[in-house]
Amino acid sequence: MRNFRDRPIKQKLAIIITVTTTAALLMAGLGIVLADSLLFRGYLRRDLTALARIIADNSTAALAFNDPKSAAETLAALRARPHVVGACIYRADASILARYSRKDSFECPGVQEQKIQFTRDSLTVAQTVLLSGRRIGDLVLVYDLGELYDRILLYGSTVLGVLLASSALALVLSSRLRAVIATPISQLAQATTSVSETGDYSVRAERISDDELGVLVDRFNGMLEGIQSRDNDLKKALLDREAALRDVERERERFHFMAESMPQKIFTAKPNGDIDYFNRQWTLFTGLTFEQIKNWGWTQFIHPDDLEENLRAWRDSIASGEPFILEHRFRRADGAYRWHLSRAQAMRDANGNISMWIGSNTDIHEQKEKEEELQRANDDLQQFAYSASHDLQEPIRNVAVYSELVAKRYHSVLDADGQQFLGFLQEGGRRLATLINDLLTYTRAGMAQVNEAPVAASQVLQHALSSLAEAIREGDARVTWDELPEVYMAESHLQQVFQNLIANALKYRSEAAPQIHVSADVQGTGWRFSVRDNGIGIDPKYKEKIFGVFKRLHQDQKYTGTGIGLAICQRVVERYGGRIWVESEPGEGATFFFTIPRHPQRVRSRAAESSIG
Amino acid sequence: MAQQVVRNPAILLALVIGFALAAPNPLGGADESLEYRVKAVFLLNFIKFTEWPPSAFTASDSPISICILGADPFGDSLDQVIAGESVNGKKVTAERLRQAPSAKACQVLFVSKSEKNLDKILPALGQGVLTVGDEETFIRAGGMISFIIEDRRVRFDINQTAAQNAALKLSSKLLSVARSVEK
Repeated sequence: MRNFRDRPIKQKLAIIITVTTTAALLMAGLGIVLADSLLFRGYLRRDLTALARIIADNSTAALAFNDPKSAAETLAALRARPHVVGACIYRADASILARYSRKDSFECPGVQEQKIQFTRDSLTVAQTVLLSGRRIGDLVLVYDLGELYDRILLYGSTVLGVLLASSALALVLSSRLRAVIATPISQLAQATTSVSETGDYSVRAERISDDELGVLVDRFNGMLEGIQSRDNDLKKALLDREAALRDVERERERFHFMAESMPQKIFTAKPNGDIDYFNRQWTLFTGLTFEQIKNWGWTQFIHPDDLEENLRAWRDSIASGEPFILEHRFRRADGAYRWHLSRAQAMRDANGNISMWIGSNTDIHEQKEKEEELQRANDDLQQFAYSASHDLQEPIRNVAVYSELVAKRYHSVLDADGQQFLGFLQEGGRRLATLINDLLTYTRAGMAQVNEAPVAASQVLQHALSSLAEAIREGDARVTWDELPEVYMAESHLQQVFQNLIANALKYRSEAAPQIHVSADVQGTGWRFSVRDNGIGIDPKYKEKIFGVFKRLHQDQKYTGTGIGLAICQRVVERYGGRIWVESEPGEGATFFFTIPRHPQRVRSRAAESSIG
Repeated sequence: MAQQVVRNPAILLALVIGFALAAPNPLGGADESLEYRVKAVFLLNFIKFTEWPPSAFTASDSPISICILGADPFGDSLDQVIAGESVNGKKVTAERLRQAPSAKACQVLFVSKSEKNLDKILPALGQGVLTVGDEETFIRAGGMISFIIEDRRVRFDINQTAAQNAALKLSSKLLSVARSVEK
């Protein structure tokens, strides 16, 4: 037999209705029978007690005058009560005066002390007979309880009959009524089954009634609607995501295709710096597999001398997001190191967070070699120029000394032409000496030494000013300066720069008294010095030209000079890895800027570079 | 008191039964006293089934007096039977008379067999006197209750008319146990 819980609701309802109806009727029937039997007992007790009293009362004379016949006649009245089995009248001494019996088997039970006695099948009622307050005898009456049991039997069978009839009726009625509840539920169940089996959320349950089941159906439909729309959203989201993933994949393929077809080495890295892609050029170059060089495996083919700087620069970039740019050497599969220029840029998403790094490594080894060749040639040339100008000083000095001697001693013997020619010779000799001197200075500026100890720029500036003290006084100029930093430069180099720039400012003055101001501030990894004047200014189109050797914008006699000062400045500044430029408008004065790295290690002398490779 | 109430009727009834069962010859000398003991009980019991008008008594607390006119056949029996008895709150007393009683003196008058001139005695009695005779003819002479012996048992006949004429009400129960009732 199946568990009641697992039966269909239709059957459950039928069972519930039938069981409850039967139980209720059973209880009611039992109650009726019980109440009736109790009431009937009470009624019987009262009835028989009254009957016994009447008979006892009617028996007083018979007892008083000892008349058994009369007593028997009195008792004979009990014939009207078929359930009275028998009765006896006793005299005061307990002897029997009269006796009545319906059945022959009846025996007088004797005088009873208890007034009422129920036994299993009989009820015995005892009644004393009083006359003028005196007990003159006793009456005992025995009642057959068959009547009571007859009643109980009748009631019981009636109740049972009604019970069966009403259970049957309940079953019939419930079969019609239960459909009202069971049908919507089973329809709902069908709808849910259909939804879960087919996954079709467009199914809707039919609303049949306006009761809780109707509400249930509405809620179910509402829920389905919610699920349907969410299902659609989910499907759409999944499709979108798939499309996005396809796009990403396509992008990646395109990128990889591009990267693979490039002659350059290409890599990508995660935001944390782990390299997650090297193109084919890389594996070809290093002869290593991707697995060997991925993440931080690449450090094994970096030149040991470059590794420390490389790691620092890469970590700095990862931390700051700034582009990574570095020239360094990679070991090729054959063991040879080749110079590369590496660049990496961070790719950012819509929120500005770094999503990946893309980098390229360009082989600049040939270029680097050519540069060095060129440098060597340049250095040779410079060495030659220095030696030549140095060696030229002696003959030039001789020319000057002896032309002076001729001018002094043979002044009188020379005619006017001779004297004029001598004057030209002297003038040419002086100019040649100045030129040679400047040229020496210029070539010497190229031979910079790394200065271990820093020098105070303000002190260097004051030395330069004391060299120019006469020119400043003559020009009625005023030179001011802010607090200046310490720099890692040879003192003579810095002084040359200051001296040339201030001399320039004094030279190209306007009508007003020259106002020159020197200051310095931090810019990037270096110091930016500025020398501002209120002179005639420079046309922007000559901004670059003025730093060339022997370039003079003004050929007239008003401005004297060899035109080599700014070239020297540029040479010195560039020697230290700095830059020099001018910002000006004609008539507005000019400001010369130059930068010097703040740290000595950044300074790379040409001599040091030459030794590499 | 309570003991007396119980014991007394028990004795009386024992006597009644004893007489009823053990009297082979009602007129036999030895049974004489037993017969009259039963009759004494009956006399007392008659009182219990009879209702007197108030005029039958001199006062409300007057006793119910049983008077025996003529030769007394009861001996000590009657005195023993009524000793301590009271009916409806009235004491029961017994008196022996030589001549017809005065008004209200007797409520029950037992006329002995010795009295022959009933014609004179009975009409002279006033109302409220229950007359009991020892002979069957007594009620025909205007008496109310006659003792008789039937089947060796003491029984009685009643003249209800006589009782009604004397303003006495006899209980129907009493009538029901009488052998015969004259109306």
